[in-house]
Amino acid sequence: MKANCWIAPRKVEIHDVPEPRILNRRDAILKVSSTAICGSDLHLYNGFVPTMMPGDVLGHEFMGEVVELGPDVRNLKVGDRVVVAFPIACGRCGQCRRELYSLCENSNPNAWIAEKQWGYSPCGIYGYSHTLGGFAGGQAQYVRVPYADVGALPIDDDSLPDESVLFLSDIFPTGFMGADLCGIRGGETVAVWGCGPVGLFAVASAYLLGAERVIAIDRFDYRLQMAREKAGAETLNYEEVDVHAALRELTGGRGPDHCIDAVGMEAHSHTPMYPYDRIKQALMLETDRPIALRQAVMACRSGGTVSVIGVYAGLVDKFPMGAVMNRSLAIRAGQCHVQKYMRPLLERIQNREIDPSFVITHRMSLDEAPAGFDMFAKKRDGCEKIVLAAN
Amino acid sequence: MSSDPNGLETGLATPSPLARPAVRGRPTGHEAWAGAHDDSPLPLLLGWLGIGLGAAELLAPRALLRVIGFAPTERAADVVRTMGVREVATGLGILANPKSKEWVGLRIGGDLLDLGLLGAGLAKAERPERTLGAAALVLGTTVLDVLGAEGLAERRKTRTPEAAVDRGVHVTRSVTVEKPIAEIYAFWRDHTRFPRFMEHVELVEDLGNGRSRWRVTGPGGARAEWEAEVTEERQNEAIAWQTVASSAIDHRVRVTFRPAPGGGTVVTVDLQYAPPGGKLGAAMLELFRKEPGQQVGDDLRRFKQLMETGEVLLSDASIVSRPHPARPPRPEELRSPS
Repeated sequence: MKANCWIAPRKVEIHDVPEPRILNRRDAILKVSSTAICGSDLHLYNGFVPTMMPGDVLGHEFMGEVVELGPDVRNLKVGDRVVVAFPIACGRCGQCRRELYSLCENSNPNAWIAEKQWGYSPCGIYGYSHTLGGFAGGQAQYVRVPYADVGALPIDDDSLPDESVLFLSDIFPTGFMGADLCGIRGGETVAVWGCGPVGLFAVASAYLLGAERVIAIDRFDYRLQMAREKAGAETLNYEEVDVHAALRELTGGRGPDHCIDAVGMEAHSHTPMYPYDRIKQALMLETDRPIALRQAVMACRSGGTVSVIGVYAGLVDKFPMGAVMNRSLAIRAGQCHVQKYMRPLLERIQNREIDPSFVITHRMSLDEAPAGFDMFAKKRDGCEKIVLAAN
Repeated sequence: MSSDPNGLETGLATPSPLARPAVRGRPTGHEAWAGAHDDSPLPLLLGWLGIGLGAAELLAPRALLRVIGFAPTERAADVVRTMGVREVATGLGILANPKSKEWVGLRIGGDLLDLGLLGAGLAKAERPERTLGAAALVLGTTVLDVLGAEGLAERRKTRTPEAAVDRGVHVTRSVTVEKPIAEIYAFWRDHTRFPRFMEHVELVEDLGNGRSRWRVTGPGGARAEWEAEVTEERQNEAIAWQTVASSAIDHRVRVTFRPAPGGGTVVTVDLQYAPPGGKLGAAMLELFRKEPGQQVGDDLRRFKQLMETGEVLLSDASIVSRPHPARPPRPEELRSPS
């Protein structure tokens, strides 16, 4: 079968690889219909995530048709159309029982590597390094889904096209969790760093949960325009305004109630902080550039929440802990517990509260994935979200 | 182990090294190994050496420059003073933390820096033969520093209370499993099921009367066999076994069970084995190519998976024993190397 494989930093290629087969009793094999390139795939693409191996199949956002089932999957049948949550989760361990699916204690065969990096291991993730299990991803014609009874959500409603439900696999729930972690009760002002697809879903979700104003921050005009026109945010271009001062004045001098970092470890800045962090990153003195995170912490209203859904891999430098402590900020973070959010968000899609396909700017075939990665990484052609037809 | 979860590595009063053999009841033949890592005065010596040299560098940089063959210029004196600050700082660090290999490690870094500076300055030296002599002295100090750091690292590795007794390897690891204690205890009583979650254990035969025969294969294909006998069985509390007298690799294992706060069961494995030595010791090392605590921890994680989900989860990369990309393997890649 055809699969999009990581070869080296800034190099992915379509290769012919063996088709997956059932390895565990709760596996399913999907014939992938649609898959997508995620902003977090760019961290792999740019070489910032350790333990990638040449030949790794990428992709953790995908959906398709069940073509084979392990003997212990009882809630699915061959022929079902399903969308798959990117965290691999058993549904039985203590963390899964608490609905913290991305912390599943049983789904990472390489947990020992993650323990060295992070103290304890989170769940396994499709196509996202050997630290997170060495699972083949879904940018392929077929994919194996472990614990399919927990991770694959059937989509019975044929009136919903792939494009409207595909993002239940990751970016819609991830953006939603970013807003959910803020504990929005109604009437708040929320600031969102990053107007990539996750940032746009964080904006939309903050409104769904009752926020009164959402202010979105980026440097690309086309992304800011999408945030304004498709998600209803007010926007700030950080290359044109002093974000801290602008947020202060937009919020009557007290700062946004909650701040969401939808940028992660490859943040940019036009100030000297960028070369500072870029050089430290290159010298391995820090692995992640926390420029957006620092700004979010400094900007947040005292007593507010800084919600981190952008991906970080390791160590950051010059983190303003004094602001966190002295101003009673709460930091909440995590890979999204997708299985917890999929069903309620599918209902919102069915109720026409939101159509997640609004983030899509490019549609390609799986064969064009390498060109898609290049375009997405370079932010060319107004690229916001690429969906790949896999078969 | 410095990573001992109980934090037992230092400071505890330990019984005499000869109080107990590596495996209870039987001599191991490794007593000579004990005492090889008694407290060494080397780190303290290195600390004082650093302070002495540093003081000279700080107080009389010009005189020192002449001794090592350089013209006493102001710029060179500044460099020497800076090195003096470094020497004094690492020296004080070592005296304050004589059990930390990190501070001695900093000295090694400083030695290399000194050597670099001497090498770079050699061309401009007034009396190069003196500079070369200085470099030789620094090289000698470097050797001492490396010996000191290694000694400390070794010492820290073996400084658990049990290991201080046995000079063997002692590992304690726990896992919490969301299953009732009775179910878990029942599983551990049947040794023949161990290969389902112990990575390197190929087969455990029940020989009756609490005795079992184990066959083990390491990642590199090293094989070992031994017989073990159950030494303790307390229902839902503890189970223990150890190798019998004629076994190749002496070890004892004790597994304890207790209710976890909030439900489930905490399983704790306590493994002790004789220190590696000879051919068989080398085989043992290969079996535990990972740090032994890690190996036990990984086996326990697989045990948890087995109990909670009914099987051990595989990934495309993990079903092939060699490093393998995350893609479905080809049939020829699946052939086991052992």
